[in-house]
Amino acid sequence: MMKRCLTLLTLVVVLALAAGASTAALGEEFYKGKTIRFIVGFSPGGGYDTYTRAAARHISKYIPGNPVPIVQNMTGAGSLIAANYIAKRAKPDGLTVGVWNGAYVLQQVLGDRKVKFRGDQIGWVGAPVKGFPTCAVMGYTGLKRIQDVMKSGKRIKIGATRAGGTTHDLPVILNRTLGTNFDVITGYSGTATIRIAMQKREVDGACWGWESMSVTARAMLDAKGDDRLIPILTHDDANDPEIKHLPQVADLIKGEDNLATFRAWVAQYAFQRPLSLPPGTPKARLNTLRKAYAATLKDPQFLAEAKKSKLIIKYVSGPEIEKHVATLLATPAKAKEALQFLVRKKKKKK
Amino acid sequence: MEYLDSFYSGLINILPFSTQGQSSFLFMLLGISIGFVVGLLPGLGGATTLALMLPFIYKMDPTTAFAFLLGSNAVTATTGDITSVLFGVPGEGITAATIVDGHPMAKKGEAGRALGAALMSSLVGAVFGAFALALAIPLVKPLVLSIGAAEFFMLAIVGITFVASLSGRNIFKGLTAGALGLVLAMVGLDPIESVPRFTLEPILGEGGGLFLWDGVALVAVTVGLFAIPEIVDLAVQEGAIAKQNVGKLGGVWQGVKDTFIHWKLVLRCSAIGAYIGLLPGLGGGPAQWIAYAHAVQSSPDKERFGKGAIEGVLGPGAANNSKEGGSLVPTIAFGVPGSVSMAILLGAFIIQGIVPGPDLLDPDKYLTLTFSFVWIIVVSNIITVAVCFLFLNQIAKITFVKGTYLIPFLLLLVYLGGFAVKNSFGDMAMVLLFGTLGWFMVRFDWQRPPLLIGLVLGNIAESNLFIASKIYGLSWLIRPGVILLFLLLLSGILYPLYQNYREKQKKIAARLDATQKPRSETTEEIPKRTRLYNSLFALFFVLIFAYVLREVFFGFGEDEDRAALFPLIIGIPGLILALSAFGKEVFTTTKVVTDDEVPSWEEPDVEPDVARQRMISIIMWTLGFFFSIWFVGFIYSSVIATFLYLKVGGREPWLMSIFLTIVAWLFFYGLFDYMLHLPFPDGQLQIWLGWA
Repeated sequence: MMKRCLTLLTLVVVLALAAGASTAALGEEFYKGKTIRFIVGFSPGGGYDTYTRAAARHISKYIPGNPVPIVQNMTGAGSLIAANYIAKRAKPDGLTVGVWNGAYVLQQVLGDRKVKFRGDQIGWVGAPVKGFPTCAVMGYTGLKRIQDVMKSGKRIKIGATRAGGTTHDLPVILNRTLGTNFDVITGYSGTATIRIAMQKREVDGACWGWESMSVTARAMLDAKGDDRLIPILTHDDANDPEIKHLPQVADLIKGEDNLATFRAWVAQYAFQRPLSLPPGTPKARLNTLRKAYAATLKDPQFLAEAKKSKLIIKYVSGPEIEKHVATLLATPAKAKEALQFLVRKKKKKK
Repeated sequence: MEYLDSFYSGLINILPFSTQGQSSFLFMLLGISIGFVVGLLPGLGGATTLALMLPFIYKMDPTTAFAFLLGSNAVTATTGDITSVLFGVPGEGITAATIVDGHPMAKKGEAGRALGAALMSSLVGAVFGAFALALAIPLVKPLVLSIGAAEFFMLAIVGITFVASLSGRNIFKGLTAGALGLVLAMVGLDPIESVPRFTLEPILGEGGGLFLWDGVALVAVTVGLFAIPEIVDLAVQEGAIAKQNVGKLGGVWQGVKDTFIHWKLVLRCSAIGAYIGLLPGLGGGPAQWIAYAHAVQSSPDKERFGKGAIEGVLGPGAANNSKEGGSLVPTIAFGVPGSVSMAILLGAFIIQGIVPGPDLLDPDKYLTLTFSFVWIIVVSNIITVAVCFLFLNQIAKITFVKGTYLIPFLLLLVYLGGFAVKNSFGDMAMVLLFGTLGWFMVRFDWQRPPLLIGLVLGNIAESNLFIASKIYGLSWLIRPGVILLFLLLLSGILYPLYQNYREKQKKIAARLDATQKPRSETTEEIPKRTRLYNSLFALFFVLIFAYVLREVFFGFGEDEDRAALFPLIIGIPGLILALSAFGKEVFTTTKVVTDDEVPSWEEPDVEPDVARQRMISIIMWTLGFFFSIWFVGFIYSSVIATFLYLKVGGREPWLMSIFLTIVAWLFFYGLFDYMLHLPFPDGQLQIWLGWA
């Protein structure tokens, strides 16, 4: 009896293994001759776009079947359109990869009804970099350090896209927790247009990730005098001599509650420009892409290119992102309350 | 001197007389051939193609890499014009304006002339844009930075008003259509706070509502609005696209001559294209329409436009090419791409290790390369236009091919164009929806271009108005640039009125002059039924604006003041304009018919009964193709639907039907699937059967 049971069990295991193997083989077949689309939620030329296009150029050779990569920009509303598209509308077949602002995970936690998913429903492939949110102002303002900004009675206009994006949220958070007096101008389509607006002196500065700023605003950072873009404060260690000396936001903020609020907000920056798959994508395909992505970020050609174009690479794996997301979903109530201003409220009662 | 040296070496580096030049030239030819085909086919966009070409440049030197990429990108607008003229289907999104007058010319049998004019003006435009780029290099900064949010907003309004005020007899209709375009641009999440607006969720359900979150896709609207009415018309009239053969007059050389007869217009439109191109954020769409508006406005005889006026081809033909040089300016100088194609070129800069900005303008670094860009645009366009001219008279003959043979191809391409927007069936449905609207607009004499320009500029107008008022308060109204643009706006409205007045004076003078043969002007009563239909269609616009205002006051606007502001600003004048247009349709009982009205081409008389029958038939086929693509996918549809249409619908002989079906299959499978890997979806049938 025992023996028969054992034989049966072995049979089952063997069958299961065979099925698994054939699934793997199918996985290999799956991507052959197909196109894999990367949906970028921001306008071309910005940081999200630059990173994604760089990885997309190399990832194909690490995916069995070598699908053709295509990068498409689905701009609008600070990438919320792309995020909801991935979460709700894209086919969960492993052929559509979304790249959008991970801040929506927090927005959903804070109760924004327009974010139509929870962070733990998403299939996280990995992220190329951590976020180093950094604020910079133009040379013509005469402000050179954050202390100048704090002391200055002048109106300092900061260009931004919309609530939920770093360009908007960071200056607002700094106003609340650090006591800066930034006037946040929303409505720009991306950091590319904000950069132009700064050069037009339409706005005086902007806050966004150093990993992007250091590439896309290179010419402005290298400029002299009035036209120079001067970084004034940053978060986390980008390991870059150019901003190493800058004050850290967390060191400047006073008061425990203020600090807790900032920390809850900044948690999302532990994984930046992450690649995501629609909910319900087969685990095998998620794993295929995770492996392929990890390999891509170690690819010598990719790294050479990244170095050439000064892209900072700090790989964050899919499972690590899952952990960060779990932490975000467990944000304490007090911090949640303090961050409520990030979510728009109904102005009138129905 | 250094400057001139670089200018010269820039040319030498891309011509096949040195080792460097040979490799550049070879890859430029390759790029041109790719761009040539991409431009012709409505389903393929220039930007996507560039993205696919990008990986090939790693091992190339910078000059060769850009010869390859830029060569391809520079010619798509040129060959896109060809498709627009011949079939009324835009080959590229940026060549839609060429349809408005180019396609009617093809119908008049003047396809050759229209193509000659489109190509020649494209060449002039490209050369102009390229040299504008060369000249702009020293003063690039002030040019790009000349215009802020307030001016962007005004520019958008000027563009819309210019195009909308073209609509000849009934300015209310034109402005109403423009306002509808603005409303369509508001569909989806608003650009500042991402509030869903007009997403029709109660009607379409959550899925459909979410689809509309992405807004209304320009390409789907353009293709639907222009191509579907042409296909219906082609089927109803039967015969070929060209309704008459005008012999020599319709020839290519006439079109070339036209370009030089109207050289001032061509140069002005090239300048418009180059300037709009260099403003980052406007994208490729507006240049062609503003140039078209300018062509109409600067002509003394506006009635000819939309019916095959050569100036209507020359203007956009020049502008959509000259903007290429212009849009390189912000990319080179600031690393800020003006369009999607430019963003991909920016990726190429990065791969090549070149930082856009001062380096590219420095004679010791990359200035020579920058000048090579100029020459690549010039040389690749010369090559393309020369090649086209060799075959142009042959290409133009396609307009004399029996319509039945063309319709299945056109329907498949039109749907492919819609599908390729986001690879979704939703946009195919949009093509159908806007096709219907377009057909009604043609029938009831409403202008379509204002609607498109409103859609193109709507978001730009809204977010820049918001930024401008946030930064400057109300004082943005008195910025010099704004005042200048406002004066331009006024002159755009007043000048045509003045022209009309002068024409009337002339008429009166002519009447007094007894020796001149008096114009016979007769008033004709409009049949009651026509008036009823006209009024009903105008009422449709009234209802749309009423709905917009309902949403503002009782819908999403209740909670979202900010997001409701622009709909309110547009909705109120929209409603007033639509009501005026409606009133005019209701109370106008007679129309004036003059003898010297521009003769439109002789439409062969089709018996009303026959016409109705054919109309029902083509509408069924149009729906049938849609259903077929949804049910069995593009590839099988190219076989099944094409064959059924030819054999059952067209009653063509077996041999011809089978032959054309094979051509369709080779075209769709061979080109799009096998060679280009376009992501065609599986049909529902395959999904049900589990083959997918």
